[in-house]
Amino acid sequence: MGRNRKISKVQAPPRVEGFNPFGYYANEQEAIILHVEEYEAIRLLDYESLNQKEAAEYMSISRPSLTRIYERARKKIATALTQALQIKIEGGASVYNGSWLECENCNSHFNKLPADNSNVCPLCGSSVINQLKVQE
Amino acid sequence: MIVVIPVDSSNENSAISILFGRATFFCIYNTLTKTHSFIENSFKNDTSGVGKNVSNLLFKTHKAKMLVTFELGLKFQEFANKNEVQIVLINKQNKFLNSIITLINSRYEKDSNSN
Repeated sequence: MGRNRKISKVQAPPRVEGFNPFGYYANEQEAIILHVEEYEAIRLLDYESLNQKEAAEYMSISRPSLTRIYERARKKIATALTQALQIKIEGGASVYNGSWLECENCNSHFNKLPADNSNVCPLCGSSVINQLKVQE
Repeated sequence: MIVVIPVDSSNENSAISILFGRATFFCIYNTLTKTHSFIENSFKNDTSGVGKNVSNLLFKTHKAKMLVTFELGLKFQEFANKNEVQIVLINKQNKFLNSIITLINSRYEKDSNSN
């Protein structure tokens, strides 16, 4: 039996749900699933240029765990690029750091401030809001 | 309340900037007076310290309490959390400043009607 994965913390929801390949050999029927914590590892290490210790602290996981997540992410992205596959960002073993909500009216994502008891979207005022969770 | 929106140009029809800290302009919107102004981001091409300088400009000088943006870097998110600033990550449907201002105005009209 494999080890249980520790839940990683993700700072904010990804801005896209995925990427499509284009060109003659593009295969839009098959997709690689990049888990949200794998996306976060790429974002923190390669985009934000944090070192592995800092990134592991942000994600509340050990450095070896981060290394494994990062290696999986790179392998998946390399596979998608080489085989011209879609990349979908979803699922995984992670939770958003802080309380993130989604407005069903304007579709924006927003954080819940500790002192805010209003339960409405800060942008459009709609009360149709949901807790944002990583889809399993 | 002061709302900050990163924009590409200094007019109401401007597109929302894809980047926050390195946006060309910031729209500073006052929800009480329903007026806005634009400030140029003089730090956008700096090689370092952009997050700190822009956050000082927005949170200390302009007393921003809400950021409406497509994305927010890690440092900025930390500064915003520290200053208890509301972060709103907008959807791709709201690509232009005028659509954001319309949404904010409708929200505060609802609030004033209910009081």
